[in-house]
Amino acid sequence: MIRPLWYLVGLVAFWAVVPFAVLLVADLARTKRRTLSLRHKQWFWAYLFVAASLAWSSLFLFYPLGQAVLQSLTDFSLTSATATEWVGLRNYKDTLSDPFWWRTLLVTLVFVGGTLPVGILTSMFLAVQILKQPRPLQTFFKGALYLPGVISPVVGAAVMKWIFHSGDGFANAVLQEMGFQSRNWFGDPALAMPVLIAMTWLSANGVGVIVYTAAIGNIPQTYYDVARIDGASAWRTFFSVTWPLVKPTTIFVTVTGLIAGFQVFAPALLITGGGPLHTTYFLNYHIYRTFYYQNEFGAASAMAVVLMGIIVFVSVVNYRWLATDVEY
Amino acid sequence: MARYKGKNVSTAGRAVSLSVLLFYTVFSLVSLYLMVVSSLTHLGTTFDVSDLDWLPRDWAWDNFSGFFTVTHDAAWLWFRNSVLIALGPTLCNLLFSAMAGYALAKLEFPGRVLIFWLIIAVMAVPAFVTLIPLYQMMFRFGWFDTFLALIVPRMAGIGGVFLFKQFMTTLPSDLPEAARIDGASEWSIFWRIILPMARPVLAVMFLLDFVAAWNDYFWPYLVTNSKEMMTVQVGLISLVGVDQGFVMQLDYGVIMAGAAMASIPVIALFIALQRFFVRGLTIGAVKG
Repeated sequence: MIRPLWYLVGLVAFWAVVPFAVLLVADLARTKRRTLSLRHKQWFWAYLFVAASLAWSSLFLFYPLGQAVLQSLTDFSLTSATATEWVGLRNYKDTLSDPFWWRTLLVTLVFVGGTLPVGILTSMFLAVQILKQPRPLQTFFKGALYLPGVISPVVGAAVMKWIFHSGDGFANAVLQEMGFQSRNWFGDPALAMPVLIAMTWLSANGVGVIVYTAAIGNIPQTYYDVARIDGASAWRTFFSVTWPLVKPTTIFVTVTGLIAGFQVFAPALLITGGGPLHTTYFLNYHIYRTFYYQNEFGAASAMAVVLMGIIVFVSVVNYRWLATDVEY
Repeated sequence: MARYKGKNVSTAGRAVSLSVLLFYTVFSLVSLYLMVVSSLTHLGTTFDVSDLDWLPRDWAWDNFSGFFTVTHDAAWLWFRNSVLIALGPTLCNLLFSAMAGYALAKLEFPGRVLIFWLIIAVMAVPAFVTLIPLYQMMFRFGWFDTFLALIVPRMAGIGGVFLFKQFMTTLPSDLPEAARIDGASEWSIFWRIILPMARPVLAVMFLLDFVAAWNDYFWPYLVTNSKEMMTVQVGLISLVGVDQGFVMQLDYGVIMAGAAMASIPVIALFIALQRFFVRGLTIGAVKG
């Protein structure tokens, strides 16, 4: 229990001393000097300052990352009686040829496609509305719309289970009040995913709203004055001035939204259990079931590495696609 | 569409947008409202919404003590653990990240660009990739179901460095330069000059990290087993059920009281320090 703490101490010492020493020796050899300058002193302090961060990420990030990649090439599993063997790319082949994996990818894509574009447009729209209000109201709305974002997924899920309870939950009471039949929300394959998506529209736009409010608020007033003098309509002004100038923010919101969206997990774990009929069985949930219940660590690692590939790919494509030269 | 400093927008236009905003806000807060009302109502286990009124009907404050009763007082430990985990490692991480951010922003050294790109690259690594080996690591280290697993991995890292680096780059360099010429050590420049100037970003990072740690449920759920080691979130999961549709034998008013108590710290912090949240989110996301 205590020994791993010494690994950490050792790693901190390593990062504080070794890179500095190597750089110093190389530099002294290059310049053929024998005295230390102020520059070298800064190097020493710099590596001392980053040592803890690098040590922790070496042990808890880079090492596990490497291990995940290596493990994905083995058939390591707690359930099989045979010794672990290298299987090359078999896990990847199995993953990509498994129709169920593609299905979980589709489920994830449906969620991302259902939440992200609407979320971005809603945030932008709300930001424009917020900026029309006086300052105190701006602060109020930014806070009120962000508030659901600080509530934990667990609490959110507990409340959702209550709202959408198949019996006399809140949503069904509202339906009955309006003269409709009650529904079995999370028990109905046609309803579970739409409900999750709709709830995300309502609760997950806080970051987008705040970021867009700041971005649109930063656009110089003169641009809008010029547009008005030229007689541009409100729509024209939006598409020719606001939209291109907030593009960096749109990139940020899209990329972070994609990274988070592809990792959607909480609703499946906490509300639906992936059901009904696997309609909410997200990629990440599939990985979790594979390693936590089936203990197939090799296969689960391969799926996680594929997911990482997907995330890196869509982030880069998005960055390229949305990249802009418009400056102000 | 003018830039909305007020004077360019007609009163009617402002009224329309105000009602749109109010409408949306009501919808996005309705679940929180429902939680508060339910937590103060004797609901029983029947899930009949007709037990609810717009205001708590019977002001059932005993739901809150009931939460501790149904968990056989384990909930006290859950709250203690959550406070411990959300506070200790967060403060530690704050210091280490600020140090690294300072080095990347203000010190000249070979490898600086490389480390910065590493930080950016790491953002695209999904948590699940490292989670599986980390989970196994906790067993190998003998940390499973101990505080070490909950605390040590959170004590430092490079995720928080980005915000500090971004902010500290914007600080003027002449003050640290002057101090350096006067013979101050790098540590005292960092501690006496940079840190006081970085107070707003320290607040931001503390809040974001605290909320993330307090709300984190999956890592504690993976690495804890015994009731005494659980955090509030894991405790709630154990009551509400996991990996399935619905299991509930408990009074839902009591559950909602527990959920409300689990939300109070983050809501209070958020309301008290909202402007820092806003600031933290816009560092690095907005030009200018």
